Amino acid sequence: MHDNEHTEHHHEESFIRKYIFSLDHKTIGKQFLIYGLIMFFVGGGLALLFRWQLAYPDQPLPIIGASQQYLDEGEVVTGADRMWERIYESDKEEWLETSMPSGVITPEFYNMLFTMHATIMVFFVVVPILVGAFGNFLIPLMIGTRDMAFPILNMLSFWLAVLAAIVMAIGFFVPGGHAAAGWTGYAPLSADPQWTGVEWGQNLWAISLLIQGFSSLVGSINYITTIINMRAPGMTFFRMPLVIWSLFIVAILLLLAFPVLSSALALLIFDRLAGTTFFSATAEGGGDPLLWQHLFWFFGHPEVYILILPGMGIASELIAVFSRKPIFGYRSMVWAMIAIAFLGWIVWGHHMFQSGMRSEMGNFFMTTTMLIAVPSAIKTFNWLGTMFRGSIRFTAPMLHGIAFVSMFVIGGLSGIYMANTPVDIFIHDTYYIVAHIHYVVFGGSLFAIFGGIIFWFPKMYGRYMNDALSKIHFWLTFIAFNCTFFPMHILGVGGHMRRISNPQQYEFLQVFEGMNIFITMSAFTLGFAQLILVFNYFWSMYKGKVAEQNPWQVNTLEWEAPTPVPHGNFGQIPTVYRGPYEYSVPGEEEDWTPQAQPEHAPATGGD
Amino acid sequence: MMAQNNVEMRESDRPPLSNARLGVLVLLGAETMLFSGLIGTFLVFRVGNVTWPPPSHIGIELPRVVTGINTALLLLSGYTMFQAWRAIRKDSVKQLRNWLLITGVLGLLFLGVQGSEWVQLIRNGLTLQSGVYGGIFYVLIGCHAVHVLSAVIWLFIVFGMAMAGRFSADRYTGVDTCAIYWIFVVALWPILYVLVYLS
Amino acid sequence: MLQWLPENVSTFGQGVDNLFHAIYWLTVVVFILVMGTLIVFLIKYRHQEGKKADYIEGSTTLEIVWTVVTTVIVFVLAMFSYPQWNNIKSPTQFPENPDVVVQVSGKQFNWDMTYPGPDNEFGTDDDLELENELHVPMNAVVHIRLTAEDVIHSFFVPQLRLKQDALPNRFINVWFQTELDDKPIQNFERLKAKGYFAVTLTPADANTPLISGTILKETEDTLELEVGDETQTISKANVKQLAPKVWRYEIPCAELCGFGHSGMLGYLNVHTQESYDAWVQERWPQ
Ligand code: HEA
Ligand code: HEA
Ligand code: CUA
Ligand SMILES: [Cu+2]
Repeated sequence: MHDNEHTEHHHEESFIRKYIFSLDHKTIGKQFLIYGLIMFFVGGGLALLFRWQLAYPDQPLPIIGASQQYLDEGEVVTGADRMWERIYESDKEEWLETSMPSGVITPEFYNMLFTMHATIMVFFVVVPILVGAFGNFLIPLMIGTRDMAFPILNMLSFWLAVLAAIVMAIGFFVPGGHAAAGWTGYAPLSADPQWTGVEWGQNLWAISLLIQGFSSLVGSINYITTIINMRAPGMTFFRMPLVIWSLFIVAILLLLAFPVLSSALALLIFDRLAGTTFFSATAEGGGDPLLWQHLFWFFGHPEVYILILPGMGIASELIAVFSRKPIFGYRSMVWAMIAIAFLGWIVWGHHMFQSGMRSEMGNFFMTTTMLIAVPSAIKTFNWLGTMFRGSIRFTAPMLHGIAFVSMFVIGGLSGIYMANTPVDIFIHDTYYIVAHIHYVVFGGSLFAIFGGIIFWFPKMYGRYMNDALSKIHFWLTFIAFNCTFFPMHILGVGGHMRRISNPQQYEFLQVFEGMNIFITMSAFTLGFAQLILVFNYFWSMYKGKVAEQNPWQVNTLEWEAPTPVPHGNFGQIPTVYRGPYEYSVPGEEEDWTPQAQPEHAPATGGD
Repeated sequence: MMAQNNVEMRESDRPPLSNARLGVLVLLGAETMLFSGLIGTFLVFRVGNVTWPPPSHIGIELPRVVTGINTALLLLSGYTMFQAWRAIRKDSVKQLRNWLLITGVLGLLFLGVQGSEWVQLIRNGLTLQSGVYGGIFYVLIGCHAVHVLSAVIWLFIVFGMAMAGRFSADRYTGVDTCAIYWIFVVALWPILYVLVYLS
Repeated sequence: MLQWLPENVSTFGQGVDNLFHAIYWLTVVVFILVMGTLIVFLIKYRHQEGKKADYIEGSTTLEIVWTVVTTVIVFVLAMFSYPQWNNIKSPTQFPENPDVVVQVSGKQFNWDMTYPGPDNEFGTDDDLELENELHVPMNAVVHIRLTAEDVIHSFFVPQLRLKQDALPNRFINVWFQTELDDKPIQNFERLKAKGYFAVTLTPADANTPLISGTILKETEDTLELEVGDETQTISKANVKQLAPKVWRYEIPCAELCGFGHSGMLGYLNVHTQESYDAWVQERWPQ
């Protein structure tokens, strides 16, 4: 059909073609990045809302909520009081009135908040940034080609993601409210509006994720084809940087996992709109109450590795570059990722230990799940090995890389408790799980994302991000993150259930009031810290220190391209002579040897 | 790996599969998983019920024989598609057109028979709402039908391009990709037939 | 960290807690090793002027060592876990001849408890239905037929180390046996947290009669009791000893089941044999 014939002459493109409906992988990558960051604030904002409710159950929110005096005596004191008065006086049912009367979050609204928090964070923040942004920006540059295999599909992928976000956003404002069955959308709860009172919200949730599924499908076809077919001369598979390996593996996971979710979503929509009973066991001739969970987690567990693998890839780059050393055990790093991806398909039952599936299955899933500790151990120890006898530079990206390793270890080790079936009986559906989630996904993926943004910023925009701000952001985030999520382990050990809007209703949870308040304070600090990042990002786009072509002295191909990277990336496609991590090669003048630098001495370790 | 050392690849060094062909193959991976999800659901219900169809559906028979013949039709279309592909590789545009047309007609015929079956079944009282038996029948078979339909549409686009003389022995990516997809859709059907109609 | 675990009162709970502790120490050791190494490396191998990194590509020996060691740890851990899990969740290994059989059914947003009554059969006239109240004798083997009426709920008693989802249209059997001691106690710390509910107090002053009531509130040195219809506040200093009559544990619902999920709450009342007999007598007078 149309081959990617490239013409070198520059022609002026209109603003729309250049920035909106761009076919250029770099622009699409940046679009995904901005999109993800915006959604990060939406998802984080929702978390802050429900964190308030957890610390101060049934008390009005600050700023938006009514004052105590207004509640007690109807006396208007603050501006918010006036707003509430106006809302109550109008005879229209206001959105605010139903979801948070006087600024107090209702239990229905609470469920909706954490459902959307997680849905947005997982499907609209981490995946779009890791896969959409880094995948798009890095793959063609790092394997040395001019663009993706299918640029039009690439653009389609982004705009489908935007469409999905719009559909998801509409859900907040439909009567009955948004989906409130958790990000896992367990049926039968989600399958029939009578159980939650949510009408179109849940439908839109499902439709939006179906659209997101198309977006991922198109994206992963593109990545896989590009990586298999379009590597620069000399760029063999085992000379690819680990981040490209991780994106390649993740593309395969996305390709195979998402359609399973799509099939489940389609069945869910049939149940809700066409009167089928696939998931509702109570109806005549009805379905299976565990079917949804099997389908969801068969997708869901590979999904969580989709969230972490690119993070591992990015961290590997950062650690090698700033230790000025080759990756320790490059090949085992690759095989470990493949092993994680493979094992990820046969462990989904660990989310369902207490669901009532047969107990023998519990033993099987426990064993396979704990086996994932093995490739994870390989990765962890190889990162340590990479730093061993290195020459470590504590740049802002490196700090994030180190944080990634240590936080991932905490999150991974807490996974071992849950993988252990008897222990999971106690901690299943408690805050122990919530702690685990955030250690792997914030401590892991997000730190990698932050590190990656700072690291590749000079290639994206030709300027550095402000170093001082980056480091302040890092330390604030690191400390506030641990203060927010570490105590959740303790809540979990105390038996504190997740997804409850008011822990004070339970006698045995009353001791945790103070801890919940502390967590909420830390969460607000954590949210505040992210404002620094955003400010730094946009400020540095225009005012940051101008960066040279290869400011960190990195070997991989993206730094061969001129900055800012022109359309078509490279003047001439580079040829690759060696692996990506040839740092501090003995006998070399410099402590780095770019992949594209022709050999002048006999190769010491070309592969 | 060492073999490629220092080799300057020329622009004409093409990978064994072109991007388009590889892309379609990758797409089939996703399609397979989509159907795996639905087939898995079917199996859950099938294994979970001792009698199949469940007692409430006694009296409803799926038309096995007609569908069996229909299966043969679809398999035949796989063969004719293969012939079309062989034809263009031998640079015979005329044969390509004929075989494509036959294939497309067979596909439409398959859909027509399916459609009339559905009408009959609905008259007999098997609907989407009649428990999981009806539900998964229509969703699974319907999902395949949608795939056949899109394959047919794709095929007629390729047919149009063939009429316009866009293919030759060394330019037939369009035929290739369509053929890959078609064969997939055809190969999937016998599995569904055995599972849904015969089990 | 593990001192935050609620007190365990079931026979199999000890096994769970042992594993919990074992994994805790395993992970603490692994964590300290990994973080210790990391920090040492960060300090020792920080960039210093004029010093270049060593070119090391890896070590097959080391790769094999840590692969094998982790694999072994994982399998050993698994070996110890299978029996515990089977003991708790595998119906073929439940103790037979239960002392009490109850059906517990979750519905939005209550736990419905059904007792089969003296004839030991469900669905007969002498069935007893209670809402959110489960009564069992202490140290007896209890079998629960768990089900749900609408969506999925989850039966959770932290102190029993027991959690099991309740599914609509399915019956899942679970069991437990408490391990409690009804000897009078002299240590009056955190009584409520330990589940003490209905108690009999022996006042320090030998002339005052025994007081029986339920604990409403507890502070460092006082107890607020409901005795009959009135509330009494008693100083712990005036109490010689305290004998339990009923322990009471919360049964939260642990699976999201709708807007009332938070607060869906039942109570497990574990009676001393005497108290249980009285309860039975009251429900099914002969
Ligand atoms: C990025 C996402 C991510 C990642 C990487 C992981 C990684 C792992 N997860 Fe996690 N998980 C989630 C995201 C993730 N998880 C989410 C979102 C949920 C909740 C979903 C929901 O219900 O909402 C969840 C829930 C979840 C459960 C279900 C709990 C429950 O609901 O009861 C379980 C149970 O087994 C589990 C286990 C594991 C394990 C064993 C790993 C392993 O991969 C970890 C391996 C890593 C290590 C072990 C550390 C490094 C290794 C060493 C230092 C070597 C030495 C170690 C030993 C000798 C043990 N996870
Ligand atoms: C990528 C994944 C990701 C990320 C990044 C986060 C980030 C955060 N998460 Fe979340 N979380 C999940 C994934 C994630 N979470 C998942 C999967 C669940 C399970 C859901 C379920 O049970 O279904 C969950 C559940 C979950 C719970 C449990 C809810 C419950 O069970 O009842 C809690 C509770 O504290 C929580 C808190 C937080 C906090 C404080 C952050 C912080 O990191 C957020 C930091 C804050 C910001 C980035 C906001 C910055 C914005 C501003 C400063 C502007 C302020 C604007 C307004 C106030 C409008 N999350
Ligand atoms: Cu019932 Cu949650
Ligand atoms: Cu998992």
